[in-house]
Amino acid sequence: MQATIFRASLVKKVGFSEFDGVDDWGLFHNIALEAQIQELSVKFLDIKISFVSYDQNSRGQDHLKQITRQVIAVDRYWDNIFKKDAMMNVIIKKILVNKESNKTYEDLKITIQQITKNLYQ
Amino acid sequence: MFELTIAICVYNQSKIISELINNIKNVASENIQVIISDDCSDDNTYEILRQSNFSEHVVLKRNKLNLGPTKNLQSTIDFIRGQYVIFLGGDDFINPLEIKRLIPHLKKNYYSMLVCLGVRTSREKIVDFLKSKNENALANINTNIFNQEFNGISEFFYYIATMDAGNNF
Repeated sequence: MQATIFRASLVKKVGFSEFDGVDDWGLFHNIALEAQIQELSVKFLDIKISFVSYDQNSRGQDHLKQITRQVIAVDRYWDNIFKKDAMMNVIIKKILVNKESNKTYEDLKITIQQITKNLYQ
Repeated sequence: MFELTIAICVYNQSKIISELINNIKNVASENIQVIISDDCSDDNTYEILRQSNFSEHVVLKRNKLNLGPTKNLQSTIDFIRGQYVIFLGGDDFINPLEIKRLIPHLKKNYYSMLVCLGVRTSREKIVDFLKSKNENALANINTNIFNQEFNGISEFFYYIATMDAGNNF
């Protein structure tokens, strides 16, 4: 979300919904819903914005916890019209991250088992 | 009316707050409003922020209860005075030069959203990168890089911009 700049009037109109801590989705989901009602314009700028963060404070560093949060949030909160795309985006993105990682096959199997378990709890 | 608002949500970040304060002071201007929303930190984050002598372009607020990240983001909305807004966590630092370069684009066009090329890196990777340059002045870089060698993250960003090395992380 950090490299996205929103028109303030749009944010004020749609607001953030609670997505069990996947905080940026609470806005993106509502904007996606708004786009079903009115045409929204998005400009991709060839401008770089750099962010420096402190790793130890970032919740995104634990990929297992992050994907678990995201999968559950898709299942519980995304509108039905977006659910399939949202779920596939989460899974594909995380598969690619794990594919490039140094994790062993057993590590990945445990990760997938944990996600599945959490999703159906 | 500001061109851009940067809304920053903080919670218990006293250890890195001095860098955040420097970053905010370098970003806030007549075109750029900064909102800092403290989510009822139970360390001294808010006290440090309150004593920081921010300019009139900075709004500092504190939630009476800990609301969590999403509601803290939501709580900033009523304070937004910019045409556009960008949301950040308290542990994210941005490059003032890059943000200021955005302003002409915001003035010129009307869009619902503008998506930039986000380059995220960690302070640890920066340390590794600078070590790899193997320059004498940088040979003994330690984890206090932002506080010492560059006298704050903004000075570091100027350094990176000069080297045009931002894409190497």
